[in-house]
Amino acid sequence: MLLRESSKAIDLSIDTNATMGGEGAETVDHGAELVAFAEAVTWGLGNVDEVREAVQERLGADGFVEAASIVGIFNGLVRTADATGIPLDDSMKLATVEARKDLGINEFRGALNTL
Amino acid sequence: MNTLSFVYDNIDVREDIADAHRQTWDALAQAGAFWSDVDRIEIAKQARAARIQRKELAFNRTYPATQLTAQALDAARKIAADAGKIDRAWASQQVASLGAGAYAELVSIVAAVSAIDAFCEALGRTHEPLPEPDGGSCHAAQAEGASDIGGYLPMVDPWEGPNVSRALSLVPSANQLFMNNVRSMYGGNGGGFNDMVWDGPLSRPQAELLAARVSSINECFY
Repeated sequence: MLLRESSKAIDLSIDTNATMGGEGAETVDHGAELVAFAEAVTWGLGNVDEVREAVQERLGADGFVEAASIVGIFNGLVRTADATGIPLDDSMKLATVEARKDLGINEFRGALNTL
Repeated sequence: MNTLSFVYDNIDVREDIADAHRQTWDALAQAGAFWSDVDRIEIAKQARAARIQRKELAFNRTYPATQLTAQALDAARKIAADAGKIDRAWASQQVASLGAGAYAELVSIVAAVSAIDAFCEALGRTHEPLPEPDGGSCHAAQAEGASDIGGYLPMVDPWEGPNVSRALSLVPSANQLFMNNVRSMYGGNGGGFNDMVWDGPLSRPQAELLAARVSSINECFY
């Protein structure tokens, strides 16, 4: 939802399938490198050095650190959300009906606590 | 604050991020609301070990020796390595056994260490050694106004700020331990949660693409 809304704010048309590992990452600037970075770190993949280098090259030193920071903190946020079962607030629940259905997010175990 | 920790050599990490990490380590070393200083470091150690072995099947993972109870170990390890598999039945068992406040504090420790460790891995840096226990007394402070809003444990309601930031609001010191990192690592100087346009090294869509991919890999509905 925040990806969609922030993209609209700068008139960017994005393909959210990339968030689920599908195509469309390139609809965001350097999106393919960013998705590969998120995957390599979160899964602990063997290609992480190569991917890290690509992010540094494309986004510069500051962009690389910010990307690392987002990947890091979301590896914490997902644990607080899943471990506490915090439900989506009503506005977010309503605003994401289609997106959750289309992307298959409703199939995640934590969905039971909101739906 | 221990300024000898989190020295990011050769990497230009914003000082507010490094400070948040140092503050987390300092706080972790002290007794919290429900867990002693020793227990908190033990929880962190177990969580780190579990997360490092997250690709292994649960029965193939090995852990450092510990004095923590079986229930605390189960909670720390599962949240660190298999959070996407948590359901209400499992969480209710933990809350019933540990107490809601102690469970919230344990989650905050696991989440903070996981976030900082993942950041270090993303930078290509080794994990920061965990701090030594540094004393203090448990204060058992819980928030007034926490109630059942449909989660696995009570949360403060009504709440000002992003909804997810109240997940651990039952125990203010636990929420602070983790949210202090969120404030510096998510957006920082570039923009805040409510700003759809960020003026930093990453655009908001770039940051949200990363965030959403990490969330879906972890099968996090939220």
